[in-house]
Amino acid sequence: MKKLSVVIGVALATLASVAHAEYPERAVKMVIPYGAGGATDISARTIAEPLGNAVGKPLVMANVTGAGGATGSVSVQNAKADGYTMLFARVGSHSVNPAMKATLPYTLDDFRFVTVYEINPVACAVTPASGIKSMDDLIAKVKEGGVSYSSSGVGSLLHLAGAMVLKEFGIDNPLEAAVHIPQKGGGAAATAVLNGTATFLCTNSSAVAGFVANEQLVPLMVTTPEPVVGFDAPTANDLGKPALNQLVGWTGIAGPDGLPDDVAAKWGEWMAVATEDAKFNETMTSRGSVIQLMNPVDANEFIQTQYETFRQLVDDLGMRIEG
Amino acid sequence: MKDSPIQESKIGENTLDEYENQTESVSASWLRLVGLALIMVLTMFALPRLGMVWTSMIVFIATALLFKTRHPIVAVVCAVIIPLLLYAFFAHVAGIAIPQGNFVRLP
Amino acid sequence: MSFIDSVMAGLSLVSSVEAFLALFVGICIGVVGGAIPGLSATMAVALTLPFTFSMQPITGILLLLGVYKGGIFGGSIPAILIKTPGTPASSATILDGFPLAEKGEAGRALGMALWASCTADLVSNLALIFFAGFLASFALQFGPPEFFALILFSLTIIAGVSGDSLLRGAIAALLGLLLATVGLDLVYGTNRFTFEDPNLMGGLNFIAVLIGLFALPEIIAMAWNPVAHLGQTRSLGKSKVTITDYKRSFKSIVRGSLIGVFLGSIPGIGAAPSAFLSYSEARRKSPNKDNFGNGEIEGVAASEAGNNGVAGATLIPLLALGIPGDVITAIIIGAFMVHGLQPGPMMFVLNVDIVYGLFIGLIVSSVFLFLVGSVAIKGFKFVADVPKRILMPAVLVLCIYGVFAVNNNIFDVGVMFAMGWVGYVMMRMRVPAAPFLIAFILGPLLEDNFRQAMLMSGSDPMILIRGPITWFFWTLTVIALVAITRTVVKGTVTAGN
Repeated sequence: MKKLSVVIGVALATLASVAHAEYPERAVKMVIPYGAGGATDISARTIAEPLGNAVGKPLVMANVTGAGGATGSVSVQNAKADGYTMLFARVGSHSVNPAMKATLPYTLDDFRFVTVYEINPVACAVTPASGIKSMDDLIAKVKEGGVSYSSSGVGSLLHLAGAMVLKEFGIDNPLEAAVHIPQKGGGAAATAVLNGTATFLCTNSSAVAGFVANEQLVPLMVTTPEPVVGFDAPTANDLGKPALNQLVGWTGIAGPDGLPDDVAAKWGEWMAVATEDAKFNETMTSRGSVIQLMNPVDANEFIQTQYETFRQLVDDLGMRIEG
Repeated sequence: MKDSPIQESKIGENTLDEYENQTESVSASWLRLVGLALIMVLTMFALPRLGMVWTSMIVFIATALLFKTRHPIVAVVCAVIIPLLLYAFFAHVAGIAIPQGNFVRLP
Repeated sequence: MSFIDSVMAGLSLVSSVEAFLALFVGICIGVVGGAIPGLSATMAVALTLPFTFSMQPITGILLLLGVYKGGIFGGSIPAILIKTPGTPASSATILDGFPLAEKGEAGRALGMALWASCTADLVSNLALIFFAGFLASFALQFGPPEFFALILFSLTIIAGVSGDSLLRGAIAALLGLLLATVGLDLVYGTNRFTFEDPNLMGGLNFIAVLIGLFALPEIIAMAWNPVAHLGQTRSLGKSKVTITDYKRSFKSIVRGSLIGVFLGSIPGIGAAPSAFLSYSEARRKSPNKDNFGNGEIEGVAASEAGNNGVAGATLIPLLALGIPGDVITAIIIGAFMVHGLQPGPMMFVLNVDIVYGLFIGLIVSSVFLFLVGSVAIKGFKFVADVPKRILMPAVLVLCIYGVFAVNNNIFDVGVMFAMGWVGYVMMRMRVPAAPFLIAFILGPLLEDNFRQAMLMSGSDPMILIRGPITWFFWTLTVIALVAITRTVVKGTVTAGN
């Protein structure tokens, strides 16, 4: 048995070193920690084509869903750090979740980010029937009481966003002033506002763009410094709340913590080529995303900053989930 | 349910394969159950290490033997072909990352 | 634009060879994809999605809809032939479809599945075309309290699929509820029964549980007695569905289609509960009540009508409100978005030609489904003739591949194995599997909606009877409970005599 394990060990070592020498020599498995049809999935599959051309080897997309992105993230955390298993990391799985959940089986340190390539503005919206026309109306309503907001689940960007926006607009204890009604998934969260279960939601602009275009939802605010096409609403900066600029969604690519430097560097080069692709840019922009390529260093800093902002907020409001 | 012991022996009496049944003892049945459980446990162990295709071939042969198939050669042929076909379909048509294991990788 | 103009505009859009070809190819892909356990209709649609990006919008969407409809029918093929539901929606089909196959009437069961599917599909499409607006506004009335009442009523199905012992059915349901609690708590986000294992944080994978519960017990039973099946006629033979069968089941098919339309138009329920509800209603109304579960052709008809009735109707919230009702329509909505179309009320104004083009395509799809389905039944026929001791290892290997493919996770294969043993013990103890499954699907929905309703009202239970819809379902629940109690009491008295 001992002999066998030595043989296997040697075999692995050779395999690894060979792989190292001419990376990539075979297909790369790309884990998408969210389900088919979601924002992460569409983003990942849209970049897959230009990125695959840049890599020169096939990219095999694998949706591993569950627990708000945790199941898929763990599968990459535990994978060999040889660059053949990579993760499409997302704001929910890699900044909100680590900030909110004490029991999460991974931390940011377990991953090495090679890029962040997409920023999604966040928009807050209500139904026309609610009579709310601006953030001021909403805040006035919250002070009266009886306001609720929906999210795609505990520990999602939507959950945190609702609380953060209210806090920024001067509600000292948003957890008590407004009721959080978690739903299962982003689609259900928007539906909950449409059918009157919840008063408002703050989510990625792409998730509500259709409803806004159809005049089923009224946008109150977007969190980016620049206005978002199709959203007739002030930016956070217009309303004097630049702190909310931190509140954006993003998609990036990460590997396990031990990812070698040259592999990370290669991903940086590939992404630079892939994000130049005209069709990719057109598709993503039409869905409301902002293509913004970050190199590994910038990506890490961006995520850390966002994580710390969120962590601060979570601690201030006592939102951390310990159980 | 059709698996009650009484019915089973009735069906057994009606079959032509007299050499195969009736003499079956209950303990042999229990042994086969344990055998199948063992196959499943080993499968879980082997899947990430050997890869899905090779594991499936072994699982196929092992279960076919466990069921005392009358067509052992067909079983072996199927055991090789079916996992390969499934691999070709799932990996190349459906684009799914079928576990490859640490030893022999398929294209 | 008048109705005629709209239809003409739609016709001019779809009257190209490509559009119909795409629909046809889609149905073929769907039937094959649905027939492969684990691949399921959902994944078949997801895999086809990227190919539609470069097509004309109408062509691409018709392709996806074809895959969807084909997939829902295709799932019934392995359900009947090897007791493995190809897609969750076809799990109710197993209850009578597989016993029919065991009796050598697989051909009849498959034929009925196809006829019922096509009929329900047509009903569903017509409902979409004529009542989309009405049903959509009705669906928007469904908040958590309404859902809670509806699901509470649906749980009474358990009595209908429990077989001869209600107690055993209840035990199975309890077990299902228990296993459904694994995962993250909806409101607090805390871990429940995860035993520190990250793989359990997402809960038990539904398809792994489903396949483990239905397909694996057959394989394990074969290890117990490898010759049990000898002497049974298990070939497809000449058995075919007849007009008499169809006529006899027609009421159940229509009822199932309507149940499907109703549940399909409400986002978030899906096809599996609809199939079970249709099945249990058919059993309740049928003169051959006792034959249900032992190979009753009407049971197959009802289940298939129930799940295919959903297929057209899920497009109602999609087109009229822009709300995807289930995972599949969530993927299809992606295809609309890529082409710059925003499903919702405005689409009926801005892109009326596309809407009517889709309608025309959908009507044609029922016919295509019939053609493709007939061929598929002939093609899969051989499975019934494969020696069972070769077939079973092949099924096992297929299940391993399929269950892995659902979520790319080896852990799920282990879940399937474990559930196989649970299912086998249940089978030996004569505890039915269907109530387990229903509780496993509906339990979390019931809990989530209850807790959401409590959050809405600040824990005031009065919200659960807030409007006519809730009153309606509460009344139905009470009626169902009274009926069940009466049957049980009657049964006890008869047994006492």
